Amino acid sequence: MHVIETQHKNIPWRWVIAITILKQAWILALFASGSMTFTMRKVIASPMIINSVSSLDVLFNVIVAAPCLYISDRIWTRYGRRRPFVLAAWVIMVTCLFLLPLVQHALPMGIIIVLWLIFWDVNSTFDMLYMEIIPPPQRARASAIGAWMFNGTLMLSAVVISGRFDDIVHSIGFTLNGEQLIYWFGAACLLLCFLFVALFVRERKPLEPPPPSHGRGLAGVVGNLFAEKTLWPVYLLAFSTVLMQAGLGAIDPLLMTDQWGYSKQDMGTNIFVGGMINLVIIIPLVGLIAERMKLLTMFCLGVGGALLFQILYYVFVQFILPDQRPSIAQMIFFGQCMSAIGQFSGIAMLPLIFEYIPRDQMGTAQAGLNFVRSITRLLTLNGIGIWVTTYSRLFKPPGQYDYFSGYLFMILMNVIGCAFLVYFARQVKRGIIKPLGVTGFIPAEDAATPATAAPGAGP
Amino acid sequence: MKRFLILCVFPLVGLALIALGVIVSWTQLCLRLDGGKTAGRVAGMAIVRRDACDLVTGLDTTLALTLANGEQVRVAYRDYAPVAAQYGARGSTTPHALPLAALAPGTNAGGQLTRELRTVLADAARGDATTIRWALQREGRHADEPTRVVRLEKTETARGYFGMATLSATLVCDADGIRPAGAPASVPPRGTVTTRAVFDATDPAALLRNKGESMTAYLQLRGSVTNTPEKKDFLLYCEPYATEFRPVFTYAVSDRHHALLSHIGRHSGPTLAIILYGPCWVYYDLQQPARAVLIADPGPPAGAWLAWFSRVCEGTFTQWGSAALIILAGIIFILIGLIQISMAVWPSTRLWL
Repeated sequence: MHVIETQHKNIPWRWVIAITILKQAWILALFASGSMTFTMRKVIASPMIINSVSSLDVLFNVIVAAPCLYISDRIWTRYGRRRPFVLAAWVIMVTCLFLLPLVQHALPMGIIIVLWLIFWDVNSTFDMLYMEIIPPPQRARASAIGAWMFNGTLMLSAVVISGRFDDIVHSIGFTLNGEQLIYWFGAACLLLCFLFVALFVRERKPLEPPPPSHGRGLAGVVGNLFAEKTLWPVYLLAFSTVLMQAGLGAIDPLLMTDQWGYSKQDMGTNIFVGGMINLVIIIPLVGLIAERMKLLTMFCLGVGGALLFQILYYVFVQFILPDQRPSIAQMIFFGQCMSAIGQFSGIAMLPLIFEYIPRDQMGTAQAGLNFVRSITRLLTLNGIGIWVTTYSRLFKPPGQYDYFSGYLFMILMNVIGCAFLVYFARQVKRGIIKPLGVTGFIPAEDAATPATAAPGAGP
Repeated sequence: MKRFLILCVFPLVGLALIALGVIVSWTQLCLRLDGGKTAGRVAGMAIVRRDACDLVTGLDTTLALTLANGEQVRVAYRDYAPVAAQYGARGSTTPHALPLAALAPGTNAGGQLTRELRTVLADAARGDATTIRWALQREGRHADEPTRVVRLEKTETARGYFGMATLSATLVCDADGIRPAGAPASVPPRGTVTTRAVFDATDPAALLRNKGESMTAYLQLRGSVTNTPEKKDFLLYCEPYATEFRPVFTYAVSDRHHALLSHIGRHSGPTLAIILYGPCWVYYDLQQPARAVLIADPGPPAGAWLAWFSRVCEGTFTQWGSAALIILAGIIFILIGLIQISMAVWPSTRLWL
């Protein structure tokens, strides 16, 4: 059988490999879209506008991806329930990538980028399709194969693709510029995905009926998420962690190229070397250390360490380096330090959050967490754009932008996040916030034994 | 039959992409594999705009540095190589000449010139306005150092052919240097573009008032006409993003000199891997030596090895990246196609386990 189908108990490993290669092509298209910051920079100077356009992605996560995922659970067509979303999205996305390097004006460029962001969220149903093809017993190994291929794709993209943006090649009578090459390569990768899913993937109708609709629209869903007061502390924790993870967003590459004068190839080299060090040294080392630490200690170490290294990096660049411009080696050193320390909070965060979620509200909590994270990220991304623009207007000559000043905003957000975290920890210590995910949990084995059942419980 | 056709789609598209990748780089690939190899030089830069193009064949640069103690250093460069250097004490009207060896950065033969001063000179000679701002900023950190640079004046005179409608890929290389091919009437006379910029950090209060901007004067003349470029910078850095920079390389085969426009160029400024007036490798057709391809020469590992590695990657992928990406897309198509064909020919039994 050469057609790949969903909902099998076992699937051939060749299916896994084919669909994982397909996913790498999809990721390559995503990496190609990473050049959109530079495309916007050609016609838009303000980092505020660039970050605002990029941050629409987070908004569409809420208003496009969530409804598409929700609806795709509840429909059935002759083409399946995920495929119609995925195929329709890819047709538009291929068109966007094809047209983007050809437009030279801000308005059509903005429209194409917004369309890309909208349909990128429509195509988020591809993850569900991927998971429906690979049955649970094979997912662990499939995930390992995927992680291995992803690292290869990342390295390839960093060294070969990202530096090509400014290149021009004259050959056999035509001229191909790097921007066209990158986007059209991304379009070819997505076209491959489209052809593969259209020709070789078939969805099988699920045996169980779709879950019922809540029937009260988006407002009802959001209302439900925040109606349960026991989840408020969890949302506070999620809010503070997103504040602490605020990055520069779309203006990060502009810091390296526009402000520090490095080429896009230098940027790729930075990612490549940093990624190699991460893969070979940092991740195994953090894994070894993490085994010997408590969850809360790890989280505090991660949070405090990240803040410390952000401050150190800012002080080092702003006050110690004479020209306020780090070398590639210095960027990699600080990047790796922040990445290593960030791994601790990354590993500890999710299990820690779930300690405070009652078992019967995990689904609601997960949806609420996604909502809180998206809204907070939207605010921080736009905040950083406004901050950099205002700071540059005050302290730089006209027309120049100090993207690095965004680090001050990041540090400020980190400090606010830490303050919320300290408040949370104190409330836990006072017993006002309870780890309901731990204390309210009675294992099935214990519940079956009357002696260990909850006090006062009847037979 | 339909099933067979569907199975053929991916390998066929993959093969078509690989063929396209090979066609795109066919000329360069043939020259690289079968051509003769010789050392060449990046001898000029074509600046190609939508409506006109310039051919820069020579660059004369003069740097005049004023130190905090009032001493002055003046260095003249031709095509980025120093040709004369003078050193004048405070109030002295008769500066004395400096040996050119004293200018090399990273050596201890500086004599009167400190290591930092030689770094400033090297950066300013090749660099753009931002590089000079950084250099002055670095110097400003040594507030008590009497030999720190407080003022730098750079005058760059680009020689060449300016304002041409088109530029053919083959150029003429003779004793006078390189020039565009064509009848003398169709080639404009040799001209100059002079850019002068002054960076002054003498008064820290004034610098603060200007929000750190040290450039205090800027003038660009095309011939004798004042020009206002998109960015206040030197000729190779003042253009808008859309302008293309295409290196011109020269090489000699059997005592005959050739000059060609490279098939690779870059937006936003000259490529970092192909350094103007630096060495390069040239692979030429043994039968027609006028057909050749430029290959970047990153030189041996020196200085910061990450920067060197980056230059190697840039040189390699600027040259072969476009073909490599098209071929890579083809390989992904073929890989997936082959897996599907294998599934059709040798179905797996796992599905029925």
